[in-house]
Amino acid sequence: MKKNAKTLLFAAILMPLLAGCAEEDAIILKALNCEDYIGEDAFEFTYEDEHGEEITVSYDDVISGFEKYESKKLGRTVHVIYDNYDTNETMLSSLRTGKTSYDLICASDYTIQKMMTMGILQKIDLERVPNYAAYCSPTLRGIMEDITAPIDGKEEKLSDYSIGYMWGTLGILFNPAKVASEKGLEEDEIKFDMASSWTNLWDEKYRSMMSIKDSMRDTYSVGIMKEFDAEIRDLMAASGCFDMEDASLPLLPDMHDKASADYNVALTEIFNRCDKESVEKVKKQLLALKDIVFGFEVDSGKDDMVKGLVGMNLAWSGDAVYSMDRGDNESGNTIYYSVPSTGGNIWFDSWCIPATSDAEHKALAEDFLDFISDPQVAAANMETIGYTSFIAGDAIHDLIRLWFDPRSYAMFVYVEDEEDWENSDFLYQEYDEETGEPLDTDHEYDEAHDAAYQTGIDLGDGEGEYNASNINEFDFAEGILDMAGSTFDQPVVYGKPMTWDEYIVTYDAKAEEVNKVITAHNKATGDSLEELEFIEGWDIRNLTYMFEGSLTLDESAYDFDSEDPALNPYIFYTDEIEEIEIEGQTVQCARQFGAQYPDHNDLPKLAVMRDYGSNNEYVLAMWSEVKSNNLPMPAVIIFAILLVVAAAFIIGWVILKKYRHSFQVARRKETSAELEAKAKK
Amino acid sequence: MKSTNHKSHKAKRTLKSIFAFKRKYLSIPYFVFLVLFVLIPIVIILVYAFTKVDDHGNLTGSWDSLVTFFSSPAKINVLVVSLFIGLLNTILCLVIGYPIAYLLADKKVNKNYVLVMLFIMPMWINFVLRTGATRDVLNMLGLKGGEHPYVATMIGLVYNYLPFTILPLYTTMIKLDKAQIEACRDLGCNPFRTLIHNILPQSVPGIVSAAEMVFMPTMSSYVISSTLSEGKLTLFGNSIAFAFENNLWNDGSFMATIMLVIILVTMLITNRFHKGENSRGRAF
Repeated sequence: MKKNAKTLLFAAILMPLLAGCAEEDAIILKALNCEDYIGEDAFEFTYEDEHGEEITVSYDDVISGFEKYESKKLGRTVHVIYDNYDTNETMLSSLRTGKTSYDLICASDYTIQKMMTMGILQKIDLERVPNYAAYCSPTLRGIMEDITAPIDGKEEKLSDYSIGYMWGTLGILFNPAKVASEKGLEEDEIKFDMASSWTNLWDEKYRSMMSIKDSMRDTYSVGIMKEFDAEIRDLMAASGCFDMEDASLPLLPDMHDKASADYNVALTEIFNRCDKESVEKVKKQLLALKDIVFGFEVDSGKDDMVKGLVGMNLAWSGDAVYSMDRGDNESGNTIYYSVPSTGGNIWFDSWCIPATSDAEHKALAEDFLDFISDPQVAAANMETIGYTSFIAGDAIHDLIRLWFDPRSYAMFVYVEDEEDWENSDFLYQEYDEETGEPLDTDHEYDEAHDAAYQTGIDLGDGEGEYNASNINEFDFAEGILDMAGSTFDQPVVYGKPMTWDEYIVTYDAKAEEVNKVITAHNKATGDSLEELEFIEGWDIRNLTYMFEGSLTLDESAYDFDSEDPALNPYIFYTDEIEEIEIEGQTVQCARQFGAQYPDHNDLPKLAVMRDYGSNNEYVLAMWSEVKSNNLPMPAVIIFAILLVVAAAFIIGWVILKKYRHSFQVARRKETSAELEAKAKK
Repeated sequence: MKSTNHKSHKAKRTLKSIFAFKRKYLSIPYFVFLVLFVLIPIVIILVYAFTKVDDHGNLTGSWDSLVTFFSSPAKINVLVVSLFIGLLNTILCLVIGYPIAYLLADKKVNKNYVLVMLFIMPMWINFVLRTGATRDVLNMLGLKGGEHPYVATMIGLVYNYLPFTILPLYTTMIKLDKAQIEACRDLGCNPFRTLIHNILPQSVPGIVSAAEMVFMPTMSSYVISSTLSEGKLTLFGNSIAFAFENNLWNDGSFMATIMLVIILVTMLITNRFHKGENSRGRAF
């Protein structure tokens, strides 16, 4: 009875607490993700309510956005518990102990494969994730479909068990100016080396210049690309899909399908070699690499690049974008990123639902996946973390055009609210130094893009004409041509529609005119105003694999086989590509755009590195051998001498003790004998 | 009646004896702590070290991890390197820390506690931060960790563990019998002989505890070595962490067991010195 009373008392105390927890029947969704891997900045989100009306709301970040969206649109209270892990391996370890359970986990390709094999995942109902079905890049989904894992004796596709989130490549991040000045090389030579072959990393001239990842799989993949370089080149030549005469090994026209079907399968086989013999070969390469590199880094590589501590770094594409942005904006280091011409690793992270999640939570998890697969949310994620989303669609298309396409630079002056580099793409807008308020600009304001048309400086029309006396006051960033009314498909200069090629000619002519005035001004006053750069020409980047079929547009108005960005929305202009020519061979070097979105024609060169399966132990043993080190000879000698001295000391001490002891005993005996003798006397 | 009275008395006394305060109750919190966080984990480590999960998912006894460890030259190499680094660090710390501690204990030099504080203060800053800063300083001085992994690591280790040497040495030094030292000098010993025959023997407990506080943590530390050597120097701690990260729990536990054995051996050796003659014949 007494016991019962106690229980009742406890219950009475606990009841309100429990009730507090279950307030409004909130459903709790537990999600687990990598650190810094979700949108944390405010973004705007537009959706249709049940009456078909469009509602635009502003969310603080992606997680709270989902909670608000659920409560507003579906009228239910959802609470997301969002946890982080540091590496896939530790995450898997903690899952194995079974102490933690989640409804959603974001993990890397090979980890998902491993989890599928372990049988701890459940299938995702793709019909409940309509945004993913509509906006996911078909090519990337195809890559996921090619990866399988045995479940109950049946090979199941990775794409049925997970929803793609972010993807990228593994390449070399390098700072040519830094390497050139430290090693006395030509910048072009470095750019050429980095863009042409992985084997150049082993070159003695780059000693102590590069940091590589202290991550077994990534570094192993580089070892593979070096060890089997000749084999891969032979394979490329045999496939007949690539121009082997050109150092950048470009895909031949109309060979994309063949290359992604035949060549890529063969490449993936080489790339995934992890039998004992191959591992042994790669180990030798990595030991040689260890001797040459600056060091292994865990997470310091990207900051070291920005600071200019190291000149080269093995980096994932998303981190590369981060480093390049910060290098440009903070330290003035111009950093490049390239995946050498023989190709390399393409990886992806995707969301999966563990088998422990019940039907209600699984449904909620699928709602969450649908929410983050909306292009607007995907764009918000990309804005924060810098990696590339699986999702295409209009919002991402706009984002990429505004970030990378020089047509945006040509048409718009960007006006952003925030002054720091992370939140504004272009710092064209000027701010009042005292109040921090944006200065008044009479641009036509287009709120959707936070962009305004360039009005030009009206050279020669009398009103805004500048001359030697007022040249300092002119803001060249506002453009030298009036671009009002232009679109991405067609520029309009001073009200006259033209093609983009004509625009470039017009611009360069105007720039020449302006430069003459600037030169004259500089000569007369001794100022050093910078001259304008000519455009000369733009390169194109083909992202058909990403946007195919995901855009809302009038398809009859475009020609999707064309290579002209004005006719084909899947093709973008880019001005970041540098052609490097050495001894008659040319390669291309790219930066942010190239890191985030490799070209359509480079995609067949990229291979997925799968789970090593039962061969994992060989790779693990190889890695611990690569990481272990022998003592240098002087150290061995010192160590041996120390040990001998210590042993001698201990032995001597023990002997001394024994000797003293026996001496004392003998003396005691002696004295007692003497005493006895005395007594006898 | 009488008997019941007697009984209740007895019960009262028992109750009283249970609830009466005894000095040994003070050890209960520590005892609980010891069992929960020391004994049970050690047992778990030992179980993992000498078992494996067979194909049917059963736990069976096995020597597999022992065989794996001793058949891998790379792992033994790491152990030898760690022992060497640990020993070297201990010696360097003692050589540098001993005179400093002696000076600090001298009231003439160190009038108030401020100087000691200056030496102890680095300990209060998170050592990961300190190590990151050390890396930047070394790079600024032109010492690249990747090119001289041993030198860079030793600098970082000595810097980090010096306070741990100075503190125990200092506490012993302030208790040195000054009269003995003076007597020593008066009886005609030169400073060197005073040091060898008087100061050093008097400060043995400090030296031993300083060595204990440096040697084992050095062997198992891994942030310092991997940051300062740019990942080119692997200590035993790195190996153990790597094993656990990659789900090799049995191998990792076996390596942890080896650490335990080394701890026991060092304790056996140092205990001999600790209380001099008194501890003779005792196992631990």
